[in-house]
Amino acid sequence: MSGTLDLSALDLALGVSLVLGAGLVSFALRLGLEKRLAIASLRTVLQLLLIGYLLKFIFGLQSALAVLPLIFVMIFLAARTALGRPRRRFQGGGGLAFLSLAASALLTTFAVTSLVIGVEPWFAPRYVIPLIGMVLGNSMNGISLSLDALLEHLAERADEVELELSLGASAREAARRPLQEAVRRGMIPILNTMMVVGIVSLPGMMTGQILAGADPMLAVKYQILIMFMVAASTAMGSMLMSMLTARKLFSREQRLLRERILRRN
Amino acid sequence: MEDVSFSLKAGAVLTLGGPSGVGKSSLLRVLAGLDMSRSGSIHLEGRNPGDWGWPCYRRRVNLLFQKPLLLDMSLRENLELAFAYTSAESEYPEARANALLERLDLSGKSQVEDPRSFSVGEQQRLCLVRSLLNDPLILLMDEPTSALDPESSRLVHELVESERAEQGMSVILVAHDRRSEQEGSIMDLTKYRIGVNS
Repeated sequence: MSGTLDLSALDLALGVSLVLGAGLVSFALRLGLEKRLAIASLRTVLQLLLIGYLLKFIFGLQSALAVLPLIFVMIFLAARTALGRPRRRFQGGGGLAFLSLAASALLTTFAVTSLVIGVEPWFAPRYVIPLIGMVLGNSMNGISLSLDALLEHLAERADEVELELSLGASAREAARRPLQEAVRRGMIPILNTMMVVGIVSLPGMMTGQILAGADPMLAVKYQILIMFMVAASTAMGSMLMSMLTARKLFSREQRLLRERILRRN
Repeated sequence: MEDVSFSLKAGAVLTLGGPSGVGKSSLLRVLAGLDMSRSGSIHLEGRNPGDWGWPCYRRRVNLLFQKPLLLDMSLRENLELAFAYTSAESEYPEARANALLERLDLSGKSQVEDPRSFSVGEQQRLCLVRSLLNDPLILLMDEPTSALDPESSRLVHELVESERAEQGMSVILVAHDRRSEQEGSIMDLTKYRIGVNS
């Protein structure tokens, strides 16, 4: 990767003037965003520097004992974020989100790094961490949207679910429609992205690789692989989360436990 | 609700009475297997719902909801719904469905794609047909005619009455309105305290 021009601290400082420009717009139009813009800019710098040093440190260690805890933390934070968005919630959702994200992201990522790319050693942080990060980010959105759709259906259209139950549907049969809707909702963003990838925008990772001096065709090949990983992991995560949630929301007597679905305060 | 105990013979009618909030609908939902009581048991022909299998039990003790409930599908698909589940013991009884539709003055509409565009009265009559197709041993009705026009109300009551006489179906109904009560016993729930599990 010799083609990349390094950025000095001065170069980045010049970059700050771009944000100042945005600040001026906010000031001129009285948008009142200056303070938030300043905080957001500061957070961007601090968070990225922090993760930069952390990655550099972990890359240096070359140890699974350093990579795995980081992955654990990433999954934990993704699960928390995924649960924060739906309009409704239920007890025990956190564990299910963690489980769904861990299963879907670990399976797809390690399947690709080990079987497809053939990364040595299997935990090689340079490959595993960025890939799992991308997979997690998308699965997280999928899980979030699926959960929102599922809880919304089971709460708002509980009477339809109970109608099916009263007509002799098992819990599994009564949950079929809400589940289909939930997984479909979770898959919409990634499907939309796949439809226009490369046309409307170049994906961030591909842009990064090209900027870093990689051959565009190599970057494209990686990007294709990543889109498929993300699609698989989002589908798996959304499905797993929806199914585990549905199991929690129907009783042993195959009754809908509508009282377990709580409105977010 | 506490200390509620009753038994019902085949073909009998029981009306649950008492002011609103006393627990009539709650009791009906427990009987329908959609809510659980904290304690106590239900027996249908000597077997509890667990032995029947809850889906089968719910078919046999079928609840006709207060508000007509139809899914976003054609009239025919709405009627066939119950026969798509694994608990179904038979094929969709086409002839019986047509006969019931005719008795409820709906036969001209059997090809309709969106039955949710029907009047409330027509929708509730359709829901009754769907319930009866399950051949319930007990039909639970939660003020089924409260929002209906007099003609729909009459058709519903006449059909339920004849099903009861011909098929030996029992009926438990909630009624505020004494006019809609049928013959049979009336159980006033005022004296029981409510405590349905949530």
